[in-house]
This record gives sequence, structure tokens and C-alpha cells, in this order.
Amino acid sequence: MIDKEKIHELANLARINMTEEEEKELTGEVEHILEFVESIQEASSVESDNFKNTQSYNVMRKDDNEHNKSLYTKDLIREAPDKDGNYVRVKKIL
Amino acid sequence: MKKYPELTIKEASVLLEKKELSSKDLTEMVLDVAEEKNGDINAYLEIFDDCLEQAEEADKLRSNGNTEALCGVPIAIKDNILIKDRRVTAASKILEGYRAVYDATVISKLKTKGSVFIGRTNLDEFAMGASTENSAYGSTKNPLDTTRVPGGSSGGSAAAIAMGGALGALGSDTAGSIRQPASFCGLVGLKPTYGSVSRHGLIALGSSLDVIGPMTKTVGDAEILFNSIKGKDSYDSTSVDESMFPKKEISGKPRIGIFNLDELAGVGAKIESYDNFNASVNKMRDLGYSVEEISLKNIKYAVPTYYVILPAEASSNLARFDGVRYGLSVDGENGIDDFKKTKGAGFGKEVRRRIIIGTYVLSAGYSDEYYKKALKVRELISQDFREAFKSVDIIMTPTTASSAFKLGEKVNDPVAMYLEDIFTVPANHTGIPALTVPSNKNKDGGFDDMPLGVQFMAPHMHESLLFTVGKDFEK
Repeated sequence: MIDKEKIHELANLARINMTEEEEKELTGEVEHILEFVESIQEASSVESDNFKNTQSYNVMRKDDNEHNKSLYTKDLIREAPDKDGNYVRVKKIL
Repeated sequence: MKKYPELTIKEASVLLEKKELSSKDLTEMVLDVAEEKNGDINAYLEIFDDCLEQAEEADKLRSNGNTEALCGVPIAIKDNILIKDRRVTAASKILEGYRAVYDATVISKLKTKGSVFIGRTNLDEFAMGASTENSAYGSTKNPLDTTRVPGGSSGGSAAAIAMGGALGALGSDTAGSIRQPASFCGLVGLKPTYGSVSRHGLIALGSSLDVIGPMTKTVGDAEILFNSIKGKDSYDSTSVDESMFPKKEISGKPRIGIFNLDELAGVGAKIESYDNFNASVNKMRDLGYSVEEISLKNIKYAVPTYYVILPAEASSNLARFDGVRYGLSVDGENGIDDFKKTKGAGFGKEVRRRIIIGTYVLSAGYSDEYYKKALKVRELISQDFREAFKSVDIIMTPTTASSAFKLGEKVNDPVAMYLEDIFTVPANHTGIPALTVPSNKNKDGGFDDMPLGVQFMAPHMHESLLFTVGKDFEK
């Protein structure tokens, strides 16, 4: 079900660099974990269409009470690995 | 008088209040122990260099009339909780060098009370694990037997208390990460009701499961710490008021429910705590509690369900660590390559494993089979609990299937490690509170064998019921 190519594809989707050796190792491990979780398929599906937790409810708030502009800017920028003044620098996308 | 590091929070606060002890002296004693033992135990990733200044501040607060139990009390903080301007790593290389830009709500609450923070404690990377062996900064050892794990993921917090390097600690619990290490180190641990404690400033793992809670030496101390951190918070929209849930009417002694452990047959975990658990049940009977059998027929699916839901949520939550805004950044050929190289270098083995599983179970064509099915089974598990709480007030189980295992014993067998959560994870699925209390203490209050714990679970927001029952059991 899971082969090395699939792991490679998933690692690519998740944006994680992996060596071929690691992909090979993960193939077996992921297969084993998926076999383990497979047992949930036997669980009864009666009433399960209504799977939303009955305790769930929406939390709404007005879009107001803004904090003062640039209150946190300096602190947040401080932690960015690459910055230029009040900007975070990234590589060009196009 | 007890030597200071052996004091409970309650005992320390009495001495502090009577001015028989200053926070500075207490903190100094605790620091001495922490510094002496940390080299071997590795409970702390960092012991703060300003503890004595914090203690002096607390002493001033006390002189000015602050009577908070926690004022001046040395506490350890799991290193996935933000303290402004201090480093925080979640035990991952990917956050190396990062400093928190704000206080977690639990931290600002404790600061207001005058707690002294001793340091940041070790954990499994991003709280993914049950032994603290998945830390990028080395394993933590169990202070009661250094060839064994302290449990995890809050293993550093548990070990810090058990070695005498803190009077209490904060941990976080997504599947058992407070309760299992507390149990392995002979401590009390509370996983509070989901939403009862703000998670603003907690590095997210599984957002539908995570909760911050106390780890302490006694049930009374857990109560003090919990009452100091709980409450709805405008910074966390998943936090709720107590009034959100109906209050259970209980006349007389709470009724205890136990489920037949055979319902876990076939899951693959060897339950060695069976005899100790039966003795604990008998103790409750002797204390006058009625005990009846309940059915939790879907509990056998709790761990497999978790290992679909958690990786799905974790892979989404961890997508933010891309080298742009925080910590580690590795230069690549282009923007995407930067992400890949950064995550490739920054995330450890178990984290990558779970991100890959999460990406798989959420990917097109598989999400119905895995993720949506898991949500349905999670609801079935919750239904079992709701049903059980119609006839009983408390559900009692062992906290773990066995006592602390050897370092290295399970680290290469992910599924064996996952089964550590077998008794603890149902409370996270359902959101109910759960308390672990040591169950094999000898009459002198020590342990002849490695510690075991018993777990009490109650309906949502019934922590006070857990404290009452836990104190009875602890006597």
C-alpha cells in the first residue's frame, strides 16, 4: 500500500527534505502504523453520520478592539531569521 | 522540619506566610538540588539565571500583603509554554535560538501570583512521545531509577519535581503527557477539562486535544496550581466557562465505575498494573465508595483513532515552522527549497513520521477512510463515556499498563510507544478531566517498587470532584 515513491511524494507535499535511506526506513514504519490504525474500520458506524461533537459551538466576535498599530512589530521581527528593517525577507516567488 | 525540596506547595506556602522561610532561601535550596542533579537527570533544558531575583521579588510581594499560596513557590515550566523574552524550543532543533515574544496566559497568571520559575523542562520534541527520549536535546532520566525513562512527553517536568528541583510544574497533555510521566515518577498529575485552561502561548500539537495542567506531589497541590491557571481567556477562543457544562447532582459518596479490562483484549498492550489496580479499587470500597462495572465498548479503538487524528492536526500545526518567522532557517536554491531544507534539518524522526502520516491521512482519496472515520469513532468513544456517566460519577482505571520502562526499550518501536496512552487518551478524545494519583506508596510515603498510578476521570468541569476523591485515595 505504501511504497518508497509514496513516501517521497508525501515528504514533498509536507516540504521535508529526506534522504533515500530515510524514505526507505519510513516506508516500513508508516506501513506498520497504518496497519495498526486500520482497526478503526471495524468500529460500528451506527449513528456515526452525526459525528460532530455535541459540545461543539461557534465562537464569534466582532472585528474590533484592535491593539495599537505596530505594538508587537519589533518583537516579532526580532525573531525572524532574515529581516530588513521592519520587514521579513524571503526569496522571490515568481 | 522536612528538607526544603521535599516540601509540598501547601507546606511551603504556610512557612512563607508565617515568615518562617523566605522565598529566597527556599529557591536557593531548590536551585542547589536542581543544579547538582540536572547534569545526570537532564530534567531542565535551561535553569534560569535570575531565579533568586524572582524570589526576592516574591518576598517583597509577600511583605506587601500578597497571600497567594503560589507566591514565592519554585515551579518548573515545560518548554512548550512561552515565557516572554526567554528561549523556548519544544525540544526541537527547528526552534533553536527562538525567544518568546509574549507570555502564555498561564504564565501571566502565575507571574501575577508571584511564582518563581526555575527553568524550562525537557520534553519529547513538540510533545510527541511517551518517554522524553524524542528530545533533540537528549533523554531525561527517571530520578527514581536512572536506567528508566521518566515517561513523556512532560518527562522533564515530572523529573524536575521528583529530583527535588521544583515544588510543582506545568505540563501539557494531548494523550497522557501529564498523567503518564506523573505516574512514572510517583507524582500527581491533572489533565484538566478541554478548554478549562487557556492555551494561548502553548506551542500547538493537536488542537482538538491539547490542554495545559499541573504536576505536583499531592492532590492538594494540583488543586492549588489548577485553580491558579484555569479560566476562560479572550486570547483563546477554545477556552470556556465552567457554566458551559451541566453540574452533576451527587448525593452521598460519588459512585465509581470500572470497566472490564478484557475490553482491551487484542489491542496489544500487556497490562501489568492489573493487581495493583484491583487493590486500589478495593481500597475505594473500603473507604465506602460503591463500585460498579460499566461498559466502554469502543475504548479499544482509542489509541488507533488518536494516531489518525493527532498526526492530521500535528502536520497542519507544524506547517508554520518554515524558517521564515522563527528559529532555524537553512538556505536553499529557492523559497520552497528553503522550507524543505529547514524542515529536513530541524524536525526529528518522530516528528517527521507523524507529519508524513498526517499528510497521508488528510490527502485526497484517503481522508474519508482515515480522518473522517476517526472522527466518527471518536464520537462513539465519547458516547460510551456519556452513557457511563449516567450511572456513575467517577470512572477509575490504571493510569498506565506498567511502570516506567528502560531507556531505549521502546524507542525503536513506535506502536509499542503509542500503546503507552491506552488508559489516558480516552479523556483527551472526550475532553473530560482526569487525575492520576500514586497507587503503590509504602506506609512511609516512599516507593518499594517503581511507582504506579491510578486514574480517576469525571464529567466535564468536575475537577473538584476529582480532587475530593483523589484526596480520599491519597490518605
